[in-house]
Amino acid sequence: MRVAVIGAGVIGLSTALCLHEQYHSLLPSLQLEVYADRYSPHTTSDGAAGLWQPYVSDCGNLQETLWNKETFDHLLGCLGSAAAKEMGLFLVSGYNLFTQPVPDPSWKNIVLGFRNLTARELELFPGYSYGWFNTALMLECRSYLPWLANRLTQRGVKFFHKKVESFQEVFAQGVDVVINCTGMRAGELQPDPELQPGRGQIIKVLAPWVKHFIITHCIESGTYNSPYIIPGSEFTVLGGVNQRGNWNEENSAQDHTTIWEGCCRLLPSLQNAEVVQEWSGLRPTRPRVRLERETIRHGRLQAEVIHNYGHGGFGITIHWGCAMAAARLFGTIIQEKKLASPP
Amino acid sequence: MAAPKVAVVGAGVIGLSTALCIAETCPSCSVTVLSDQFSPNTTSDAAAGMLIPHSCPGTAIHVQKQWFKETFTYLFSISNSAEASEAGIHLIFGWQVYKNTPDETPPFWSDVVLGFRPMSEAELQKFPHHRSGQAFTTLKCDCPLYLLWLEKRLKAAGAQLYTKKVADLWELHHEYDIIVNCAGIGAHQLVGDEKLFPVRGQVLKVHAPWVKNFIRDGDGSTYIYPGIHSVTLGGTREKDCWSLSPDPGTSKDIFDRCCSLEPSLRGAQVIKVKVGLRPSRQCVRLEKEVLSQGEVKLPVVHNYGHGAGGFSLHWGTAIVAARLVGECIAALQSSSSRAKL
Repeated sequence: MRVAVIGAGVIGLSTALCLHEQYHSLLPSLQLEVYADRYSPHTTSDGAAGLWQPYVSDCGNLQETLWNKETFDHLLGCLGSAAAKEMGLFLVSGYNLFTQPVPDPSWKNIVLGFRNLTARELELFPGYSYGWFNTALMLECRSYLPWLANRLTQRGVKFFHKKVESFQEVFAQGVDVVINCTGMRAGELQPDPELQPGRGQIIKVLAPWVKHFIITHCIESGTYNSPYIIPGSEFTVLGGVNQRGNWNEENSAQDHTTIWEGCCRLLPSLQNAEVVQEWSGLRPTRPRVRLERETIRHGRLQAEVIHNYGHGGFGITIHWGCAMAAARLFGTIIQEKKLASPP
Repeated sequence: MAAPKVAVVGAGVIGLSTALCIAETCPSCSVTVLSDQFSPNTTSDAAAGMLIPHSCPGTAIHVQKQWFKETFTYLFSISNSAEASEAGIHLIFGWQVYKNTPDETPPFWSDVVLGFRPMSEAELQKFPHHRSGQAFTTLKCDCPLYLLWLEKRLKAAGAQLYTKKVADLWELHHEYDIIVNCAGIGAHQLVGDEKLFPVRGQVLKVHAPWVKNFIRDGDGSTYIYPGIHSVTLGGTREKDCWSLSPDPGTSKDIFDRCCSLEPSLRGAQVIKVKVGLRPSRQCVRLEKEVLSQGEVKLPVVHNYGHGAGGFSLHWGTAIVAARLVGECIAALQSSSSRAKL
């Protein structure tokens, strides 16, 4: 049973690991391969700061909320282990700021110590009159992706550096199941008008005195189109741009200014921070994550695709829940093919 | 009298902040800081600089609270300014955890720090050996950055700073009108204060930039304080121990205790080990004294004995010391004008 995972961002690698962990002993014939044209540090995931935080509103999507929770709980469980540092995993606390009162988010009981901001805390942020404080997790992909890749390599999973042009190309080579974790470029394998880029730009600075994340929200501008500051283990990420429909992966001077001025207004001490790097990427935005099975005709055969893409600006936040769900779909497939060993 | 000449003995957090407060409240004064040690070799440099007060048995609670509040307010506004990184001041959230649940009443400083609340069950799961705790956001003053910043502000205000070992306050009476004694543990020798005793503290400064929250065991024995360039792991509280040499066995013990609170520290590299002698006393000695040798009088303002609370209380006590200096100046000026009659 040959399974090809296409895509080596946080979704592709975690889905591959989850699948292998769950099925390699049940399915001795399982041969797992990863195909991608970009590996860490050149994936979309590498540009993300790595903060676990879903969007402020879940739009009634309970399934995604559950996947977020599964991810948080899984990561929290990894915190005490020796692997945490290698994974790039650690606790971080901070602020979410609003210009008016908002309902509590779906994730208020998932994170630790969620509470509203006090009046004195709000004095720190002129222009914002309401907010939250909580402890969440950071998962830095520049550590996590190599960690996942190492675990996969140890398990005998093979990696291929190539751009897959079509599902047919992969099936023609004898692959039985494709796991489609192609993120932003899923549309190149199968048109999907619902998948749109949410262009982001970030400035990485040296500001080790910043210990808390600060995320502002502006209802009119939309999610992540408002300044945010996220402290990593080495650098602090400044951001606040989310341009729907913009495919440009080049850094924009205009956006740099918007981000820099917005973040310095939020935290005046940043004025003295040294800029280390600038990066742009495309959030694979979709009204909801596409996580489903599809049977594709391949000549006279039926081949299976499990889609797992469209995680927008919450890929890291939701990745493990989705990986488990994709693994369950895979379980259904092998059940149908009666390939799994009896319990 | 001509511009009063004030000498401040001691260049730790108390000496420098007191000198600055005097320079700012009394612009006509000339202020000189004299010390045998400057940053990074003062007691303050070993401290993590966390604004978490200790209870000082000899000082009224409302006074301690006022000093803490004045210090917090002063540093809070610096932390929120463009100077924060140069001054080494930043906010930090964390947890104080207890193995044995303390009494219900929140500490006197709970409404001065930000967002003080009991820890939730979910938060306590991270600390399996502890049963309860408090969560709050407070300020941290990173040494040596903060001391260097105070020195810079002092120089900008026209103050002079000299390395000099002062063995006796009377050495200074020719050149200076008023002496401010901020000698910390040095006051034991300098003014023969037998009530002042060291409480030795050893700490490790480690490289662990992924630790973003502080953790403190409520019994005061073990703490993890993330700073700008290192994380301070502590500590010890050895009463009447004068040794400034780091003890390797103690280092290992501190490291193990901290790893038990925060397992990810196992991977942290130790940058250096520091030792400081907390200048401890029943209460801070914050008062005027007029020394005399025959007809000659020497006004002294004492400001020492802050124990473990130097950073937490420094600005509040500096304000009082500056006020006492003002009173000394007024007394000198009225006696000199009387002398002219």
